[in-house]
Amino acid sequence: MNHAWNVTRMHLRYNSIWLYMPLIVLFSSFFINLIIAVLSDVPIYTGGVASVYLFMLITGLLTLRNTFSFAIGFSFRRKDYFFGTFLMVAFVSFSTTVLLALLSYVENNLTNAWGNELYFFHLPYLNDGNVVIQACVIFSLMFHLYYLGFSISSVHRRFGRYGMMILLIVSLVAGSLISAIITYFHWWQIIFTKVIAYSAFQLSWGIGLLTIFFILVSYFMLRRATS
Amino acid sequence: MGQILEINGLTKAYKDVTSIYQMSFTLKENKIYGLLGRNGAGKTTLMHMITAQLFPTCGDVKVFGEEPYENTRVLQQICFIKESQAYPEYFQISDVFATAKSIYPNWNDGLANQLTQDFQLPLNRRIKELSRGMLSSVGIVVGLASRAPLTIFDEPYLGLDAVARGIFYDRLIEDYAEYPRTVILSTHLIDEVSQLLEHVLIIERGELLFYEDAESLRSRIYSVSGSSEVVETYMKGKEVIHVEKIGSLVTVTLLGKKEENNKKQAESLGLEYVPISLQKFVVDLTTKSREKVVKGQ
Repeated sequence: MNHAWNVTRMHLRYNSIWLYMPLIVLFSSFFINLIIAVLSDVPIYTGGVASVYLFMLITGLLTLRNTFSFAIGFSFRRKDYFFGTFLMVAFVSFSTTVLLALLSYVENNLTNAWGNELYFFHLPYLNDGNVVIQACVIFSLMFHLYYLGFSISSVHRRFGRYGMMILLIVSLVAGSLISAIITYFHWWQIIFTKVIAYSAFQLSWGIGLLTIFFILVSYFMLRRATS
Repeated sequence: MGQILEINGLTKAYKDVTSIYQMSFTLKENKIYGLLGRNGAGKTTLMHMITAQLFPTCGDVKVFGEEPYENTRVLQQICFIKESQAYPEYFQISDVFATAKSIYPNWNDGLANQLTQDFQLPLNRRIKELSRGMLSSVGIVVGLASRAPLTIFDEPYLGLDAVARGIFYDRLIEDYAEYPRTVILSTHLIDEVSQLLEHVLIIERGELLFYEDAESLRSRIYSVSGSSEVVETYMKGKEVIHVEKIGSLVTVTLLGKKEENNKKQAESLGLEYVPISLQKFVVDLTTKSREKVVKGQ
């Protein structure tokens, strides 16, 4: 595991992208919204916090491109690369989760929506429940989006552009088929009703299973990937 | 002296081309090997398989007696510096050295600092802002300062001028004398490295054409020139590598036998005897091999 930690340290050298950049975008969006909220009379519900999640997805897509060939070329094992990256994602997700959960608490409990009815960090449904429950939702969403991107790029690393093309075609066909079946049997209403009946916390367990699937896919793809 | 690399029946085949075909050889510890051959001969593919960056289609690679794939014990003893090495573009030179230090147990900071000064590398400059020559220098610093028991250089000095290449050769020899290790040097600048090499492997079209002690090889390669009839008489029973005709003058590159006095024989027939460089030999040998393929022999 020593070399896995060295991989984490390698990622940490790029802390501007992993840590600072998403926060700069997030807080820029927050302050712009705060100015609007000060000038406006109506409550503002904004999805600016989504930028953090989007960053995780993009970082997941780009990590392999940036560091995999370098790491393998510098004698790291694929396994160490994988676990070192996992540690890095866990660290980033955890620290961001703590920050977002804290800001949600400040917004909802201490500042009465920043004194100007700005709902930025504490959104209905997503931030229902106590701080721990909210943190679980944030953490699982961050992990999920990172490994969605990471698993896609690991398929590309393993099988190249033809592999990606096949993955895309299979995904499109499967998606269209499922969608057609649901439409044919008029199941959309039932599905939406059932999904909404679950809390965000309950759903986070569901996407957790999907995240484990993405993590396993990435692992097995990288084990046979070349530099 | 122990073997550090054992390759047995190694083949790498792609859909429409075989890069390495049934290759077998061994390398001993603490020697400098020259891996020579033309572009596309299979050198880089071979080095990628030795370092487990590429998977063989069949055959075995054993480094320090073990499979290198996902083997930390083996991998941290191999430093592979290649011309095409990708670096994270946001990395500074100092980040590259710090990462190398974290993986290679024999890494030497003093040597890294000395080489950084020799090559005038700005440690805080980002990799993406470096010139081709500076990028090569970064690889050379890593390759030498890692002091890995198996160090592989694949065209390490692209973009470097003659002075910088001279620094590389000097530092390599100095450090090798003090801390012996096995070095594989793959390059097209054969004449420049010729005196460094202790053994030579020549690869062409994925096959090992030649593997010999460099000193012995240098003493056996030569050319003779003269009129075609006399040269043809001389060539009988000898291993001819290349024949070049200009008018009535014929120049032949030959690989003599150790025990024969090739010079005396040639001069007794009135032929001009000239020892040839390793580079000329590699060019002639690989050209001959390609001609054979074209003729379907």
